[in-house]
Amino acid sequence: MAKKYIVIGGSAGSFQTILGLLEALPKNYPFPIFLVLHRLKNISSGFVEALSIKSKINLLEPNDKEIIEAGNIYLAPANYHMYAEFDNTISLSTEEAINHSRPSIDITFYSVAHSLREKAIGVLLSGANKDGAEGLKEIKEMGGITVVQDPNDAQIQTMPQAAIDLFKVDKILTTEEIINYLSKLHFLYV
Amino acid sequence: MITEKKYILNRNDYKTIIDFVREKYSVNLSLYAYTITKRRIEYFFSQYNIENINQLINFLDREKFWISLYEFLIVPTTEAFRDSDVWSKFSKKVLPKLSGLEKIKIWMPEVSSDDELFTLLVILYEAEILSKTSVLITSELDKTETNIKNQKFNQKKFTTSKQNYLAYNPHGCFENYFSNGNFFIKKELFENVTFSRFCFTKNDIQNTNFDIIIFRNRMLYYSPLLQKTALDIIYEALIPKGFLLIGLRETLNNWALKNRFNLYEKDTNIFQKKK
Repeated sequence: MAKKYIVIGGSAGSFQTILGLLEALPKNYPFPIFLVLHRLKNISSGFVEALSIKSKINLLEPNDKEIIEAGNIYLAPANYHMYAEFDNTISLSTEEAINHSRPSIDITFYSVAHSLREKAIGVLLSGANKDGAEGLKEIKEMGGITVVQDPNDAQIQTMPQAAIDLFKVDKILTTEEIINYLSKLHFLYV
Repeated sequence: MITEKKYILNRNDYKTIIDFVREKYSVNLSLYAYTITKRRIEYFFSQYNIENINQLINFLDREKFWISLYEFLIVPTTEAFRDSDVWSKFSKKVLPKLSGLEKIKIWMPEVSSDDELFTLLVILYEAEILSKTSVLITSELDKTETNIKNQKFNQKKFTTSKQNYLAYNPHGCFENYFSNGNFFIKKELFENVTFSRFCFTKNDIQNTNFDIIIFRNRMLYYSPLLQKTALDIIYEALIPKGFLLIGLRETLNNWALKNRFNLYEKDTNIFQKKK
C-alpha cells in the first residue's frame, strides 16, 4: 500500500493544468494517482496518448479489478465510473451518469474517501458543473487532504467554487502551486 | 446522486445487512463488488431518511422494500449499440462464421435492461439471420421480461443510442425498429427470444451448446469469486469454438480459464472457446 493516494478531478478548462502536472511529476513517483476528467464518451482512442506525451509516469486506463500500484496514473475510461476498492483494486461501473457525467468525479472521490481515508489527497480543478464538490467534502470528512484550484486562476470557476461554497477546503492553490505541491509531495511523505 | 443526505454504512453495518439478506431472502450480496454495492445501498436508503442500522434492517424486513432494493442493485445497461466498433466486428467477423448453420443459439445472461438485447436483435435482423436464431435471455428478476417487452425504450437514451447505431450502420434508419414512430420496440424483433429466471449461484443452466454468449459489463458488479462461478458455467455452456463477448474493460486474466479461450478480435474482447 502506498502512503498517499492522489485523486484529481477536472472538467472544462483543466486540460492544460493536467498536462503541466504530468510533465512536472518525477519518474518513480511513489504514489498512485486517479485521474477523472469529463470527456466525450464515444471517443476512447487518442486521449491517453495526448496526455502521455510529456508524462514520465505510466498513464493508463485501467481494467476492472486491476491492482492499484504506486507510480501509475489511472485515467477513468470513457463512459465508465471508476472506484477505488478496499482491497487495493479498481472497480469500474456503467451506472447512471451523475451530474450528467460518466465518469463522475464525485463517485471516484467518494470511493477514495471511504477506502483510503486519511491517505487520500483530493484535488478539484476547473470545470463548468458541480461534479466533485460533494465527493471532495467526503474526502475531508474521512480525514484526507482537500485541494481546490483557485477560482480566480481557473478557466471556468463553477466546479472549484462549488467545493469552496460547500465546506472549508484545506488548500486553495493556483495551477502553478498545485503542480509544485503535488510534484514535491514525496518529500513530505517518504 | 450522492448529493442526497445519507446514512454511511460502516463495515459492521454492511456485514449486518449481508447476513440478514442471506438469512431471510437467500441472496448473498457479499458476492458483489463491495464499494459499488455499498454506495447503491446508501443511495437507495437515503430516500427514506434512514438514521441507523436498526431502522435500515426494519425496512429490509419488509419484502417489498427488499425487492425494490434488489432491483436497484442490478445496474441497467447504459444505451444501445454501446461500443459500436465491437458490434461492427461482431457483425463482420463473427456472424459470417455462423451463417451456414441451420440454427444459431445465443445466450445473454444477467440481462437488466433492453439496450444490449435490442442491439443484438437489430444486428441479427440486418444480417438476415434473425429468423433462424434463438436468443435466451436470463435474469435474476421476474420483471425483466415484462420490462423489456412492454416498456418504452428509454427516451433519454434514444439520442445516444441512435448516434451509436449510425456509427455502426451509417445507412440504417434507427426509427425503423420502433412501432409507429414511438418508443416501443417492434414486437416482431422478439419472436425468437425466450426469457427465463436464472442465477449463477442458484441454478444450473438447462440449455447448453450455445454458439454465442454475450455477457458484457455484468461482471463489473461481481466479486472475483462470483466472476469465477459465472465464467465456469459460461465456459461449459458454450460449444467448442463458440464465441464469448465480455465488456471492453473486463478481462479473463484472473482465471485459469483464460487459457481455454483465444482472443478472437483485437480491441473488442470477443473471445473464442478453444476446441
